[in-house]
Amino acid sequence: MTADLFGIFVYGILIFSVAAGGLIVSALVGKRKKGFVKEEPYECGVPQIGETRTEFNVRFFILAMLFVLFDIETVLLAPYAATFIADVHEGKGLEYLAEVAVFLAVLGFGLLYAWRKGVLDWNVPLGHNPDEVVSRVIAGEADDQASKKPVEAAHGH
Amino acid sequence: MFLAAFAIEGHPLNYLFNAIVVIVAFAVIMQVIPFMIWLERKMAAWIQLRDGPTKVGLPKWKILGPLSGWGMFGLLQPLADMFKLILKEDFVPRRASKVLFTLAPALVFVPIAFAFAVIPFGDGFNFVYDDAGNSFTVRYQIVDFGVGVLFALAALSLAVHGLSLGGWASNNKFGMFGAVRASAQLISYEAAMFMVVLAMVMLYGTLDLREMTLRQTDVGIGLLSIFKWGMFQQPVAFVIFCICAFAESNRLPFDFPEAEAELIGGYHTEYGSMKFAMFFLGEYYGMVIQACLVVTLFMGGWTLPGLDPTPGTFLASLAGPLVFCAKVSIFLWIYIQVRWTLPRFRFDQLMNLGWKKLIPIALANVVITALILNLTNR
Repeated sequence: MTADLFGIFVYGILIFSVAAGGLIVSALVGKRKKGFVKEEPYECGVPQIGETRTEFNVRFFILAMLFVLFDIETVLLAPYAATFIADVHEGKGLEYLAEVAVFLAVLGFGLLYAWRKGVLDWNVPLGHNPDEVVSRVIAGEADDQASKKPVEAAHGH
Repeated sequence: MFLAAFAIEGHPLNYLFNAIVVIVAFAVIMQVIPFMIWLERKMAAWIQLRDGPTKVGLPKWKILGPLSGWGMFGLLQPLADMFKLILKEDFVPRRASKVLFTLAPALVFVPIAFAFAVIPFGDGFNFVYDDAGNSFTVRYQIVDFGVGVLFALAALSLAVHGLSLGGWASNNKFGMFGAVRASAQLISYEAAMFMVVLAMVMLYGTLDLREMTLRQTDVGIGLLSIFKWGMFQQPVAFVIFCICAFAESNRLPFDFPEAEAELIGGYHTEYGSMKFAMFFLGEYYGMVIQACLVVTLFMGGWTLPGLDPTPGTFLASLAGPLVFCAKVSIFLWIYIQVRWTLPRFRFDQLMNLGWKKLIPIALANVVITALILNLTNR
């Protein structure tokens, strides 16, 4: 073990001892009183209604998929970015940029596609055309099912 | 065989000094966090024309003379809060997943804290240990990692597991909403943040945070070297990174995961005692590290125009950490100021800002940076 690694070793011990120490001390100190109602999940004072762990808005899942694409793309680009200056000095900058531009364009098209499909329009229910919904709301058709949804959708029911 | 990994290479004093540096750095951060909580409450009070905490200070002992009972501007309030939280009941809801519920706060704190390991808060010094002039270098950085910036961002993004598990495990609807929102928000702004960091990596030509800091200095041009700082070279990236730093640490105007008025407490609705404190320790630690990252990437790290960035001797090297702390505290002050100035966004506004504005701008920033580098570095 080099001296550098010893530093992170000591740091790790410090962090884990703070984390474990906090949890253990608070578990040992402090009185404990059980109660049926007390241990209910908090729901503004009324008995719990329905299940918590049910399905939620699929939008969050689609968003996570998009993120995975972007994240992997960044990690793949990191070595390219780190050596880019050296490539430029060799006179190969534009050539390599063109190659990466294809990669970035595919990614950008993916984002545009999701955008046009309405994945990123959080105030419009999934599967509805955002422009259409907005024009309907402006026209005063507020009792339309599509324009009634947004509040619920944002909360992830 | 396994013990061979623990064999000492090099001088034992090197290990001792590294350990001291690590312990001092950790102690400083753990002192900054309560101070920040105090300053946050104080500034909230000043902005709202109140006094804030004023009472918790020195005890009323005769031995203290005129200082007995002095409130110290409420500086000891965070300490009192900590003791209160330790003594609180360690509560677990009946339907919660007990193991995950207990582990979640630690899962927020530990990865975030590890991100600090790669941040250089000073250059370091050479220590000569014998008459022959043999020496070793002690760096003011816990570990000098070749891919530091990737490690820091990766470790920071691991915290999302703690938040979402905490909300899910407590089996509370508000906790669940908070957890889902936290995941969506953190991953959205991470994508934009990674993208602007790519542009910075292109500019500096390295992934090493120490190297990046040194690229922002130029002793030859004196005070003008301030324009070598990332914030002047890449202003767009600087603004986007700051916005993302706010969103990543769940601060107003992006505090959706715990929006008090809508979600009670979000993912920590069911938490109390030190588990609750651990969430906030993690969050404030995250803020400090985001500030450190901004300073390292965009504000020249520990260097200051006119100061030697790599002094070598022990006394001169102490200027680095002081400058670094000063820069970080400016950024932490902005964090607090913004919190009490801006109202919360709506959730669709948050997502629009992240995906429809920041990510396309960041993508364009990468391409434009590449083009400009091509033009200027022929």
